[in-house]
Order: sequence, then C-alpha cells, then structure tokens
Amino acid sequence: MIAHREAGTLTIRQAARSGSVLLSAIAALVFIEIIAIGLIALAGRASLSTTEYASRTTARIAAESAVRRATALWDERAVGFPGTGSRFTVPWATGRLPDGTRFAVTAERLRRGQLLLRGSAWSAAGVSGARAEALLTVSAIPADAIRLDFHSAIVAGGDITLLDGAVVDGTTPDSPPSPLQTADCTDPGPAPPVPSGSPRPGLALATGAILTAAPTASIIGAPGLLSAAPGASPAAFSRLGRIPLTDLPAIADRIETGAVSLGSRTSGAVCDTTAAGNWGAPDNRADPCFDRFQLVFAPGDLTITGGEGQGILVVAGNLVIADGVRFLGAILATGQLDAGAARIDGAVRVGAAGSRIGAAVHFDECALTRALTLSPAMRKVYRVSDRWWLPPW
Amino acid sequence: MSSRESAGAGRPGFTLVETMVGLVASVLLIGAMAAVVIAVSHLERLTADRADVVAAGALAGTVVAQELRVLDARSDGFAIGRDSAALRAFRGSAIVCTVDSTAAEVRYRGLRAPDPAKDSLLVLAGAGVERAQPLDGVGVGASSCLTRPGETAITLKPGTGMSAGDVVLVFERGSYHLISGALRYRRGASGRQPLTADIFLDDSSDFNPVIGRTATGIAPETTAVRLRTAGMTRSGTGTVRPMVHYVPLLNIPVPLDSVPGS
Repeated sequence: MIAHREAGTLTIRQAARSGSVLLSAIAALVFIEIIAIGLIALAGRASLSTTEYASRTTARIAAESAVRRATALWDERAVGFPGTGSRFTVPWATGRLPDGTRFAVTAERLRRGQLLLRGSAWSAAGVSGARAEALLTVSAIPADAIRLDFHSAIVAGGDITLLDGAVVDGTTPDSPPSPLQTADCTDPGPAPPVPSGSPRPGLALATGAILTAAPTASIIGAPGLLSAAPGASPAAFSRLGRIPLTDLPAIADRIETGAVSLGSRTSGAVCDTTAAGNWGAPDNRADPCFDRFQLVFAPGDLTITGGEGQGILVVAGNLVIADGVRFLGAILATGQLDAGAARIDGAVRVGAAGSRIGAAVHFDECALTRALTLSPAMRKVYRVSDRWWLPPW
Repeated sequence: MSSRESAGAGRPGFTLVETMVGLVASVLLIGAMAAVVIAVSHLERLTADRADVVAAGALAGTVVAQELRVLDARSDGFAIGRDSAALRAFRGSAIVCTVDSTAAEVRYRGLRAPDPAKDSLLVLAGAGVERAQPLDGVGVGASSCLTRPGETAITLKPGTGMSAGDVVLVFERGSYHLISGALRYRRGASGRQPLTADIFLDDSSDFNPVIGRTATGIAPETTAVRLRTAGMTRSGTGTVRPMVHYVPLLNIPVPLDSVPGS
C-alpha cells in the first residue's frame, strides 16, 4: 500500500512535469504554426499580386492583338460597306485564347471611310480576372484619292524622255479596251472612285521638269502636255493616294522584287493566286484569272521581262518594262521608268527625273476603276496618322 | 506510519543535479524555440516587405504602362528624365455628334468627367489632322446624341473647329516621378501625390527612354520606356531585386501589321 502510494505520488509528479513541457511545446508549435500560416498568406499575397499583374498584362495584350488582327484582315466587302454611325462586331477578331482569355472587337463608322475599333479582352487568371480595352482609329483606303492622283496618262515628277514610237494618250476611248465590256467597268462598292473628268492631259509634268520627245513620239490630250501639274511634287510620290509607301508592305496583295515574267496561272478551272508572276489575265475573258486584280508592291527596283498583267503596281525604286509587256491598271514608280515597246491601259505616275518611255500609254477609266475596286488590298484599312492608337476610354 | 512511509512523505523534491539538468534542458529548449520564433518572425517581416515591394512595383508598372503606351512621343509634351516622365495624361475621349456655333455635342467616356479647370482638348479630325485647344466649359448633352453603354452625352465648349465624327481626347498636363521612395503623380504645378507605398530606392529606380530606329530612313526616336523599380525592406536588412517594365509605345511609325498567308 505504501509502495503504491509512493508510486502513485511519483506518477502524479511526473504527470505534472510532463504536462507543463507538453503545453509549452504545444504553445510553441501553435505560435510557429500561426507564423507559418502568416508566411503562406504573405507568399500567397505576393503570388496573387504577380498573378493579377500577369492577368492585367494578358488582357491588355489580348485586346491590342485583337485590334491588330481586325485591321490586318479587314475587308470592307466582308462587313458590307457599313454606313456612318453603324456599329458591329468584327467576327474574325472575336474568340477565345487557349488559356481562356476572351477577346472581341467592335467597329464603329465615324464618318465616310473612318472607323473606330474597340478591342476588349477578359483574362480569367487571378481572383477576379482582368479586363482591358484598346482603341484604334483607321480609315478605309480612299480609292477616290488614289484615283485623283492618276489624272493624266502619265504624271511625271521630273525630266522625261519619250522615245521613238512612244504614245501618251490622255483621251478616254469610247469603249473599254478589248476584251473588256462596259459592264466590267462598274464598281461593286458604295464609293466608286471619282472620275478625273475631261478634258484630260496626256502628259502632266512637275514644275521645272523638261520633256524630250523623239520625232515619232506622240502626245494626245487636252492639253497634250500640262506643266506645273497638280500632284506632281516630289512629296506626292511618297504616297499612294493618302497611304504612305511604308505601309504598303502590309497592305499589298503581293510583294515582288528583282525580275518577274507575267502570265496567268491556273489550277484546273481556278485562278492560282499564289503562283509567281500571276498578275491576272487582262486579255482573255475565258481565263479564270480575268477578274484577278491585285495591289503589287516592289520595295526596290523591279524589272518586268514579259507577259501581261493587271492591277495596281507600286514600285519604290526604278521600274523597267520590257518590250511586249501588256499591263492594265495603275502604275506608280518613285524612281525612273524605263519602258520599251509595251502597252499600258490605265495611267502611270513616275517620280524621278530621267525616265525613258517607248511604250504606248493610254489613259483608261475602265481599267483604273477595275484595278481600284477589284484589288483585295483596296478593301483594307490604313492608319491615317501616326496617332492611331487612342487612350482606351 | 512506518519509517519508509515517513521518509517518502518528507522528501523535499528533486536533487540538485536533477534540478540543474532540468534547468539547463529547459533553457536550451526555450532558447531553441525562441531562436526559431525570432527567425520565423524575421522571415515573415522580410516576406511581407518583399510582397509590398513586388506589389508596389507591379502597381507602378501598370500605371505607367497605361499612361504611356498610347502617347505620341513626338507631340504629347513627352519628356523622359531619369526620375520623371512628363506627358499629356489622357483622361477621356469623346465622339462628336453635332456642332453648333458655341459647343459640340459629344458622347463621352473616361476616367472622370472633363473639368475646364484642369483639362484641355485634342481634336482629331479626319485625314490625320490634330489640334489642341483649351476646354472652356462642359454642359449636359442633348438626347439627340445617341450614347453607347459606358458613354455620357455632354457638351464641350468651344466647339469651333470640330465636326461630326471627330474624336476628341480630354487631357491634363502631368508628370510621373520616382522620388522620395514612391511613384508620384503631379498634375500641372500642384504637389506630387504618391501612388505607391514609400518603398522604392531612389538611386535604383528610374525611367529610361529606349531609342530605336523603327524603319529604314527614319531618324531614331523613342520607341519604348523602361521603368525600373527597386525596393528596400522596411527593416533595412535587404533590398529586393529590381523589377524592370518595358512599355513599348504604340504610336510610332513602324510598318503596319500583316498576317502571313492571309
């Protein structure tokens, strides 16, 4: 009994001592636990801060990219040539990214030609996600402004030489050049290019430019030769209408460099628009490429070695056209034009002094209309000024 | 009561050796726990400080990116110094509905309502022409100006030189500063108001213009702004690695985007 009591006393004392240590340890553990939870919460806060920053950035870039996509793939015909005040969603710039970020672009026509594109994006990352907007103003390509620059058979910004056999004819023929028919010359869009009217000069020269003509060269028009012509200053050749040439690589339907031989290419009964040198088939109504027009841009010198083509040709450099080439549409060369015995129906603008022309250049309203309305690039949009991104309010 | 029983009841406690061992063990245990607690507390403060620095850096990056990204570096009074960025701070935009001899009816949306005491107007007419003019007055708009969600119909005075379809940007002159440990905003000649916690190291936080040539034949110009923020922990025991934000400017003469194969 005594031993039991002694043992009992000892047991009670040990239990009391063990309890105090245990309580201390538990208290310390609880304290450390609280600190650890705090640390986790802080780490979570830092992580959340970073996630929300990433989410905001994702949303902003998605909104801007959506607007860029809307402009890059813009097609006036696809959106039905909307009128002033109309507002619509741009289907090819609306969707969802693989990470769940949603984006959409709405367009509003502010006035004839001018569009306001508003891109919106919602990122689901973070606690409440993030939303961002981007605002951009662009303008439909003004075919009428381009058309007005091609007001004569040839507009030259510098001295020009007409070689033997050259013909520069500013008169409009009674009927379009074969095989075109009058019905081919109508514009499918709501804003047809403004005709330049008559009478029309054959050759329009910049102030101070000198013409040298071989005896057999002919200039026809009213007047045949116009000096100090509008749209013939050096600055006027750095743009196609109002579009700076620096924007053309993105707008053009085709980029060409070096030398090219023209000719229609088909794949079965379909025009092969990707084939090299396929600039359409102006002389064959039965050809699948008869209605194939395009805006062709050459960022440097270009030589057309032969064949036939149509559309709008812009050369940021010198252009050489070999004998026998046939072209229907508009040509702008910022450098010199060296044209052999070729035939051009439409109009030509050449910027630099020193051009030598032996070709027959006939102004043709129908050819210009077809080139300016049927080239897919002419249904795109361009930036009117360097301030085209606006604060997204 | 036996002798054994009385001896056991009269036992005073532990021996000296037991007590000493117990005390030493307790001191060691408490010391170890205290060290852990102090270390964990320090870690918590450090983590909290770093989280604050990261949050402040992210906030600064967001604010600066939002403000600078759409500026035209050549015409918005844009001046980047090491510790400051002066600019036109756009606060809203409007579309002109109608114009008469005194005012323009517009659809407006923005960060706040236009205020003639603070704001000026930048009128973007068609064909890329833009013109800055003072804002003389703001009024309630007419119902004839059909607003979209998020827009308010108001009048802006004067309406001279505006026409239907013009875009009008409302802006104030302002500057951002990285001084006294925080990103601060100063409108006009007023005081600099902090936008972040006072946590940045002035010597290691700065603005820097990124100069580049955007296309062949075009003179080098500001294409982006680099914002660097480095923070110091409040305990002063360490710095946080600098955060660097690049803000590419959108309104620069780079070639347009194209989509390959389209």
